[in-house]
Amino acid sequence: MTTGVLGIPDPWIWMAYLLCLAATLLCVVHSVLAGRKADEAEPTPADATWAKHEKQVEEEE
Amino acid sequence: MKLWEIIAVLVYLLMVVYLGYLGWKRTKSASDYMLAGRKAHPVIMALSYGSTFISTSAIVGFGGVAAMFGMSLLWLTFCNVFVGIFIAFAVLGGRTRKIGHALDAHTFPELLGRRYESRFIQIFAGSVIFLLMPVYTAAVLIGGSEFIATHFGTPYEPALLVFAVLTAGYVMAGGLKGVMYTDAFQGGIMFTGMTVLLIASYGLVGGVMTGHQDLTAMSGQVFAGHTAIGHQGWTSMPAFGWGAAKYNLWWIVVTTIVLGVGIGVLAQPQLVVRFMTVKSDRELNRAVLVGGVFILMMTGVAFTVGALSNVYFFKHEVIRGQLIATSEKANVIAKQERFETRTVPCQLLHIDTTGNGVPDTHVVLKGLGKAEAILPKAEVINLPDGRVEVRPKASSFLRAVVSAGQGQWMFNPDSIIPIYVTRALPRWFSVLFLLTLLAAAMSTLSSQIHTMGTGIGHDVYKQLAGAQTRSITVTRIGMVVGIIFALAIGYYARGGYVIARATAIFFGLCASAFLPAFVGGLYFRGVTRTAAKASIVTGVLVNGLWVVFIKDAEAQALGICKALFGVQSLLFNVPNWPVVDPLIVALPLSAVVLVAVSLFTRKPSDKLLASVFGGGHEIAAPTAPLP
Repeated sequence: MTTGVLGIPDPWIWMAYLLCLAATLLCVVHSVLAGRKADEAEPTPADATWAKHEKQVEEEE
Repeated sequence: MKLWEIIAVLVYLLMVVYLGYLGWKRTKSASDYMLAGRKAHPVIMALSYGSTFISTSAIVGFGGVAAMFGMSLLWLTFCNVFVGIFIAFAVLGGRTRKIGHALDAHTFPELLGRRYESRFIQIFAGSVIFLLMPVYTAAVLIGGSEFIATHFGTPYEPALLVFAVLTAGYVMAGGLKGVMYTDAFQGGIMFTGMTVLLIASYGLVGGVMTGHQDLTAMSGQVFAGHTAIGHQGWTSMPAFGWGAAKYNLWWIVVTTIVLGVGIGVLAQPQLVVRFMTVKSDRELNRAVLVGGVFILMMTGVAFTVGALSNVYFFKHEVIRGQLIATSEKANVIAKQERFETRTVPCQLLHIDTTGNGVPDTHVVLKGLGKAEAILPKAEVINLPDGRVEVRPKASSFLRAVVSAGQGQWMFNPDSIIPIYVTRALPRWFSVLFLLTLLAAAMSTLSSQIHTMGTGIGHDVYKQLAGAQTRSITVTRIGMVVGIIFALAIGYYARGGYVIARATAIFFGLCASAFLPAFVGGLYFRGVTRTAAKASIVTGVLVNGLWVVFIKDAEAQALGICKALFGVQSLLFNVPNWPVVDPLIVALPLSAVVLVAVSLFTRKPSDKLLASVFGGGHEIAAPTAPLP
């Protein structure tokens, strides 16, 4: 009855359908590769100060 | 409501309260993790981000738009995953975290304000967020309320009040602390609910291929009012072109729905701050996996199921119940703006499917006069037991007949997903879906209300009154005022896919106002304070003026254009312009202003640049302004 991909004839629609899956796959692959590569960074003094002040901001809410 | 349903909701609420208590007792907020020198688990972080990002607006509101306009909305899902997760986490997230910590910024306006050493920017951004966040909050409230009204067969207004009290009560009672376990629990429920919804829906329509093919074959069933603006079927893009009303839908879908929300997510104040709550780039990268899959399963499922609901209603739905009444001539509202209402005359059937004597299902029997050709004709069979069996044979939009109050009826796109879930799926799933929506709403509302409160308390009041002042009272008052404002919007604005439109307004405004200054501030040393101020003000002004005077539906709702110039909107009779989203004009202008003004104004001090980008040459960008 209809041609196209996945029963969807309009290429703009099946492309969107497949790109959603491709973008998700990109997230998965990136996450696996970058998660492996990146070193565990030690928190900087700025990180510690930020966390301390964040706690104060949270308490004010 | 049955006893087991009440128990299910109570168990869910108790779990949320218990996790909140655990979080409070063990202080498991993001900052606690960092203070303890540990990291939050990437899965927890990603689910927390995802459940804040995705709300009832995305599932019910945008799902309803997909049911009405079709699978072209999947472009928004692509943007949600690629822009909202991949670009946001992998590109902007790490830089936001690093600079946010270096500047000791705790809110989005504070990040912008400190990056540009400008109190004005922080106060202005805080004010804009406080004033306009309620529009988005209203969208989330309406989404949950439409489902409660459909699920329990109650009028919309009390459902709105109950939903607002329930969620706001939770937030005010302690859901503000950013307890990541609670968010993750809610994210888990959402993931489960949407997974079941996807599998069940494809099962109902006969599988992926059959479902899509049947949907394609339904193109002749598109409502005439939608065909006139370019709807070519649920598996086709709307007609593209410029200069005629038949191209309006393309501009609505692409500029407002896809770009407005798809790009706008990058400058969402309540999401940007999440990047500061992680310890390292590694955590962000690891969170991309769960974030991507989660968002796909939220909006991807909502939009696919929304579109497929047409096949269910048209081909498979059978309603059995007691025919309580027939409206011999009802003028059902198909489009309602402040100065323009279009109705379709038809006969309506009001059926009680639960046996309590109250009609809970309303369907078009047939159109009257000229409307006979454009409305579905339901098949009605009288059963031996006195009940009726009705096959509505309607598309989702024409099946979503709900009371508009005062004896009037309307086709309401925001009711499509609630009606579909209630009608097509077993009752137990309907309750699971209710919990899914409660979770989606609570996790988003908590950060919205939190952002409204800090916008007025931390970013406006504290900046004006002095850093040592405690802003807790103002923050709390800000939260209550914001909720009341959102409730008022939810009360008055209903119908005409208002959930998606309200969400798009806020997302578009945030992108137009803040995105150039935000990205420029993260990556380019040459962006000046004056340029950032000019860019933000330009974004807000152009966006605002477009909404007030050009964007037809919004201009009508506000009525300012009518009061000043006597017309509903300035370009209302020029094709396409009245439906073009403000973002399309305001964002490029805001970016151009940022670049142009940076060329001619005083460069930031070396001291500021060192504190933002570090002492060395960490940022590769030249000292020249944006290319």
